[in-house]
Amino acid sequence: MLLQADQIRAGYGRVQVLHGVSIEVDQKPVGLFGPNGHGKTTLLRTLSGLIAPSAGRILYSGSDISGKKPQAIVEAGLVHVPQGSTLLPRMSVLEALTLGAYTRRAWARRRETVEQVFALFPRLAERRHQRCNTLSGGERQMAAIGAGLMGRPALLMLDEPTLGLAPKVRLDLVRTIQEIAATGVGLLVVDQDIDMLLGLCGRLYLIEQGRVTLDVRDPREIQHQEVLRRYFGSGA
Amino acid sequence: MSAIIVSGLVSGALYALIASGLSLVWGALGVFNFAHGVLLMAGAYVAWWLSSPDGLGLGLPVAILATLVFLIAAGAILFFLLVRPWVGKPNAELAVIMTTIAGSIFTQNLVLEVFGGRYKTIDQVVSGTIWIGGTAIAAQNLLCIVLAPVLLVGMWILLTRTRTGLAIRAVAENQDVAQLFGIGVQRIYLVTFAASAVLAGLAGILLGGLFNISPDMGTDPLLRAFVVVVFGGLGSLPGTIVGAYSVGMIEAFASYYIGIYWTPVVLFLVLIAVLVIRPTGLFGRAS
Amino acid sequence: MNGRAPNWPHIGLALVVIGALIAAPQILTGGVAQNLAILSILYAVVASNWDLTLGYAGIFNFAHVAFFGIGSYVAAISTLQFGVPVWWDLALAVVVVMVVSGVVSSLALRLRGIYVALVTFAVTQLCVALINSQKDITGGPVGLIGVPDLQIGSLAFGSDARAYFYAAEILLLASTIGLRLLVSSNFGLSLVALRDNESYAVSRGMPARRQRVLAMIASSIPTSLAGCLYAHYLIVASPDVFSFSLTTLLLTMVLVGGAGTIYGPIVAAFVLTVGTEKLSGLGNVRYMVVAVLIVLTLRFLPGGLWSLGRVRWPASPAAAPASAASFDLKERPE
Repeated sequence: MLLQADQIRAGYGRVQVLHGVSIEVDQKPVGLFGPNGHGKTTLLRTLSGLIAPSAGRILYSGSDISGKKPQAIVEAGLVHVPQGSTLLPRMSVLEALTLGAYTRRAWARRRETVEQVFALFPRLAERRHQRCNTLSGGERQMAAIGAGLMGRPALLMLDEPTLGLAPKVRLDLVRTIQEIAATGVGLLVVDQDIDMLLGLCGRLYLIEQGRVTLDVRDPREIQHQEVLRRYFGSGA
Repeated sequence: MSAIIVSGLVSGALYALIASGLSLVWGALGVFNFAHGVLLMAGAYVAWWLSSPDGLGLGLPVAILATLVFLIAAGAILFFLLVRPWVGKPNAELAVIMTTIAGSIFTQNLVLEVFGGRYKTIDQVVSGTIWIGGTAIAAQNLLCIVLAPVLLVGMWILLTRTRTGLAIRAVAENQDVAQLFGIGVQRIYLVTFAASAVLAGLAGILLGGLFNISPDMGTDPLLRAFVVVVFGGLGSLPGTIVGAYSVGMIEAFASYYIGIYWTPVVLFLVLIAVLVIRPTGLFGRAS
Repeated sequence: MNGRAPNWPHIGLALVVIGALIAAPQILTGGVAQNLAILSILYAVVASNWDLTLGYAGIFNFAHVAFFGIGSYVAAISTLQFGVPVWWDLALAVVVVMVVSGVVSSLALRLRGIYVALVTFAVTQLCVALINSQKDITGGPVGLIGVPDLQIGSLAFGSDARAYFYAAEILLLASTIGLRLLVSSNFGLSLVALRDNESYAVSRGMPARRQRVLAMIASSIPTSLAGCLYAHYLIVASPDVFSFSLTTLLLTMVLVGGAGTIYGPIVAAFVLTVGTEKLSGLGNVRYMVVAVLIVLTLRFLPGGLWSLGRVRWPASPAAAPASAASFDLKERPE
């Protein structure tokens, strides 16, 4: 089991957002979906160490990482690619990717890794010296995911990778994410695009009001309609 | 005329060293260090005390090296005592202005107590005069003119080619993202602060060879640095450097044509003009 | 107010204070005590008004000491160099300082917080530069000596320092009442709103810059008068009034007293003026002590001494004061 989160409670100061969330990630990609503001991003930030959980335990490859600092967690191979368009606006693509390999483990192999990332995202290779804030939306997402890959993760967590992207760009990105999954990197993906998640993931969790309200262990067995009905209530 | 230009270049060089330290700290930590002038002064005094026969008499080269080590330590102490407890909190900017003002007063009076108020001088790093194209330039002045760009280029290389330099820039852009890359933000804060202390202290050593050393010698340069960063925008290192040389030149020309007493007024008027036209400074960004 | 029972604790307190104000000059007649008292009162005026802009409105204002200094220099220069009659120089000082504070703040407040600090700081230094350069008018680094006494009829204030004592007290009283009224008015509430959540306040139509500029101008009025009294009382106007040391001392009064409380800095002014006098034997170490005090206060008691007393005091009906811990200094929009 790559990642196991048990009864996680977490929030910001007095505002508790997660009220006992438990998820598991193994070799197959796992998807998280649900309404905005209900805790998906908070969960990722707790897993990556930006927020300390107030209760619960996080096991990564068997060791307890609850409450550890982000530095240690990334060094262990758990990488979080956050939501939002531009990670490092005034730095170039190459600089951002290089920073992705900051950890000692990844730094030594960064030249090798960056070639792999450029092979995966040829557009980034073309624009390697451009500033990140001059990239298009899709390219910025590629850069963000690419930077995450530079950390040579065992488990990569993506927060809304297809948000705000045009359909064609979205399709290309989804295909690339599937390629990434095929290389053996573990994936935890948060997204609104249920079709994408159904096609990509071996397990899905619906997060509502800071709790897991649906745990779909075999997406092949459920219909998209059924998920929609559950997600939006009756009459979807 | 060439003497004025030389003077402007020397001032510009020193202001660039001083102001870029301020800019670095602002970028990475989001705070402004009012004690920066005192670091300049401390560099000068420590170098003096270590090298002068009235002090330890170790000779200038050893003194300079030891002073650089001292400055790293001083920057670290300043950081831990006066900056770190407040960084990241909502009142950080104002609180650190006030703590560093306090640090400034403390150190100035400490130096006054320990060394007395009488002016001292450090030996020049290089002495003598050099002739370039028919103009006589004091060697120390030439050193300033040459050294500053070298250091600044060195800084640029560090910030773009080294792991720590890239990390400093990342922290300046977005702290959360930096953490997610595995960057230890507290360590970067410390490194940035220590680096800015070294830059300030170096400027102090150079200045000490050109003019007298006194406990308040850092005040005027710091004020000029204020003008520089408002001019060039705090977030931008190129802007700061351009601003520094501009201020240096304006000062040199104003001193010659209008006199030394009116120069601060001229600078201030220029500052006001810049602010009226471009409130974020010539190069600064709104955030 | 209307129809409610009189607020006896408050009225009682007011009577005690007024009684003390009337009695003090009669009691403290010794030269040193008198001098300390008068200086404390004047510093209290300056510190509490600085609190309006720095603490209450959250403006990074470092030009306040310049308003004090300009007030004292206008008093000195106008009476000595231009023969302006006494009392008229007070009016002139107020006008000059109001103009200066208005111009400086309307320019500086276009900028983000930190730049306001830098520019206002530079203004103060500019004053020093101007004073040093215009030796003929300002007396240069030495200053001007021989500022004429204030006089009412045949009573020259200098002959009986109790006159200055009462004058200073009247100024403090008027200034504090004014500040209190300002703070509990809609204007004061708008300042707090701007400080705590500027984007929201602006989105509700509040003219941010105008309110802040008005606060700067308002706070400069009693401050300039304090500067005038200072010059008349000491008979001297010197550039020391713009010094870093005095700025730091006044800043300590604001912080240690309690930023945003108005009363706190007044109390702290007395404590610190007397305190630094007692420490004067230490010379420069005095200022080191003050500096450490600032850092300790910011670290461990951000609300200042006043926050200690608030638990026991009856709650004031005015808007919630700021403490240094609650300055909300998020990214300000342009």
